[in-house]
Amino acid sequence: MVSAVDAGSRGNAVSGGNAGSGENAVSGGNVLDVRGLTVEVPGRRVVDGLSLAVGAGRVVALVGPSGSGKSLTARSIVRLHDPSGAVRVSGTILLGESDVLSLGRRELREVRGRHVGYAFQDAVASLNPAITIGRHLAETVRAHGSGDAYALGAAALKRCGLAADDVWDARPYELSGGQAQRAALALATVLEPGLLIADEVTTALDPVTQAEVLDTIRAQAAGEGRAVLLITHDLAVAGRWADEIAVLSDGRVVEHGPSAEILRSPSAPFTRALVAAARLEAPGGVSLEKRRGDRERPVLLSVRGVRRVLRGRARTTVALDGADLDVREGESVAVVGRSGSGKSTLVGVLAALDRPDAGRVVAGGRDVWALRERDRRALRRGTGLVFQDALASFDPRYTVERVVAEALAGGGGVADLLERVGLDPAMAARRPATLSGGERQRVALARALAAGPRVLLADEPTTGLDVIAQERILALLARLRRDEGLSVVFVTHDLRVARRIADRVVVLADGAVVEDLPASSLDAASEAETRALLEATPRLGEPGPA
Amino acid sequence: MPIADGGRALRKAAAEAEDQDPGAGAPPLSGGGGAPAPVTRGLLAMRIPVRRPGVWAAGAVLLALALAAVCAPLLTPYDPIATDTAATGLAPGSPGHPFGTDPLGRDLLARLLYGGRTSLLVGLTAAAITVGAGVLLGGIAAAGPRWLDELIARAADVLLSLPMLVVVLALAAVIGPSLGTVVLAVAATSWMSVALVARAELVGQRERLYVRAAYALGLSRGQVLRRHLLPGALPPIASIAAFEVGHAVLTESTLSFLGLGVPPNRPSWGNLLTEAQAHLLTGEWYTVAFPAACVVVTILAVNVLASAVARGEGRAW
Repeated sequence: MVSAVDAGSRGNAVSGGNAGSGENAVSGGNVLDVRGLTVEVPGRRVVDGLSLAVGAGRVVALVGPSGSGKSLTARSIVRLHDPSGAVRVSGTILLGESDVLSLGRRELREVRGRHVGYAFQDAVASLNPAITIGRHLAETVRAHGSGDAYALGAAALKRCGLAADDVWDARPYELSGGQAQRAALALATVLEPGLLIADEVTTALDPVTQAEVLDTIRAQAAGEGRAVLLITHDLAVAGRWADEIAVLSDGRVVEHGPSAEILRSPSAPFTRALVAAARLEAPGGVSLEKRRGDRERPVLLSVRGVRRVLRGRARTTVALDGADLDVREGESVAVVGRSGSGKSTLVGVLAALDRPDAGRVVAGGRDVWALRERDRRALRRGTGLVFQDALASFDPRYTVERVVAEALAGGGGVADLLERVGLDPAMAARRPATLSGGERQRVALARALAAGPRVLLADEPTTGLDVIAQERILALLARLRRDEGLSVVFVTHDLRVARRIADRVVVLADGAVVEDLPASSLDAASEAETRALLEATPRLGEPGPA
Repeated sequence: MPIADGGRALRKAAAEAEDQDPGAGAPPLSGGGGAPAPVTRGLLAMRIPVRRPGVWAAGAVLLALALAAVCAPLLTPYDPIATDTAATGLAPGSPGHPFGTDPLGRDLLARLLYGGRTSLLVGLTAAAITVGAGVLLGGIAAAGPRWLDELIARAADVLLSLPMLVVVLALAAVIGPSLGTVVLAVAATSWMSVALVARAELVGQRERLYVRAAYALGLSRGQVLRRHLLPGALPPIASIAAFEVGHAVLTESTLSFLGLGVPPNRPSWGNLLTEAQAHLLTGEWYTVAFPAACVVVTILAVNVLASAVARGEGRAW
């Protein structure tokens, strides 16, 4: 299905091109033309003389590590900055004929929504939970006084692969992650803007949903002649879904060209580093090293026939339904699956935090939920837990030092731990909010390791990180495994990461384990779910439709 | 009494906390926004911004007011109740009566100082009881079983829907007028807002990821409550507490005026204000200005102290 859509969009892209670009396109073909953009935040120049052009009907991926100024650039295009004036923008941003930076408030409002649609990374958070999707759409249409809200909204939803009847009266939290992101895209494009900015829209989505959403975006470019600025840190995504890639480093575009060409023969040193990191090749073969006799190692943690039902206010979800899993000493297990397959629930159960409705959780030969509360707490100390959103897992009032010190049950130094995870001990005095994504995840790892656990449970720890930070975290995990004999359960929706980190891959679907196989034989997987995940995962060196 | 004399209580608490877990006796760490500033560890793991001079000034003002009230006999030779027919209605600055006298010849400075005893005692105690009871009930509602939550929430709703004076009058009728009645009446009619806010904050915090992370570290419910939930719920509660101090001072004067609080001849800032109503239009501004200034300064100082309990959450653009 994925490839069919791709093929279709490829055909359209050729014929659509500049000619079919609609009323908002400009004569020169470039919908967006950024020249010498500079963005300064207090104490730092984040974007430094960036130039970039996006033509009608083209999907241009802006790729770069975190902190390279991708999002600031995107926000500058519609001037969505903190109104307090801490962010200073200079240069020219031509949208058609007009320079966005010289527009007044009223004209700027006209640009937002009508000429530029903006979709954010966290779709659910970008929508108001109190009002329905229909009202979001109607509000946007009315704000620009452009006719029948329902007709336009329904058409936009249809373009994004949603049926208006299904979602018009739904509130954002009632939708799945993919649906919410499509609804947000429909909202961004309801007035048929000439430019769509998609800011990391699929970062939090599983590969299958990601492929669906990105196919929708491509179809927008091809079918409606819309210019799309696709912001991503994932080169493979850019390679498969974008026509052109612009690589951003230190606030500047260091390389810009057709996707396939950039990936095949990157010329800038930074692009080469990025491509190398994105290949997720294990340096020195630490994690790919064959381990003999894994099956004979003692089982540290195991769940048997675990069922867990999440009871919400309005509906109940069976998150886990008869899941079995053994974690042996020193092994690394990747748990993969789509969103909603029960991955995170499984982590909660393994961590002895959530009590299963049925089934047994056995740690070190003892049934966890038959223990006294006190012993269970001691058990939790023997399991390190790392979350996807590291920052949210720290008390916002705490400094790095206190975050880590809390986990240290007396003895041992915070500085030692920080050094073990490759952080400067001087960071102890800082607040986690002032650290970068990769640094935060290291602090989370330091905390998880503080009590000297034998098992580390990591719930999508690299999902929000750019490839370079991700590669560093993965290398760190590999080193910790080797040096300390740590068992790792690594939840991810990214099969590339799973392959890189794990000895064994466990595939979850609908709350049960459908496949459990060595990472090396992943390509030979037979289950439909595993195949679907494999096929939806973009790979470098396998050029997409561009 | 976390609000009244925050500094002392917290320093004591810090000593206790470090006795409990020697491993946590870390050197003081950074303040807000990443700029290093020493902080003190508290019982509730609160952060006191030591480098904010306003907070210290507010504490000093409150301490000075309390000291002046306690040491009233040393600061003025006059009896606050004794009338002096030879010196009625003197303006401020008169010899021997720096703040002047009232129409009955009572020295205003003496009445202010002795009045501070009543007002500060009632204001701070009532606020402390209100906040204590409110946080306790809110905590029980947030953590306890469903029916208890419902019971507390409904009781709060009922009390909020009744006019405060009716409740207070009923209470005073049962217990009889006294200072204790005033404190009890203030607490009984104002714990609801604290409890409801505390409950809402605790429930909101409970769902956050860092609380789950804390449980994953093997912390007990009590430890999580003390280290993560309560400090998070504290800032809005502190704002309400500051408001409650002023509310208590004024309620005391209302009750005294109705004959349900302290006897009308006994000075309190509220009583002084009530008496001064009669002189408002006759040019004797000082009878109103001094007690009003005392009330305002107290409330301001408490508010500044409460603001020291900052959220402390960093912000990125």
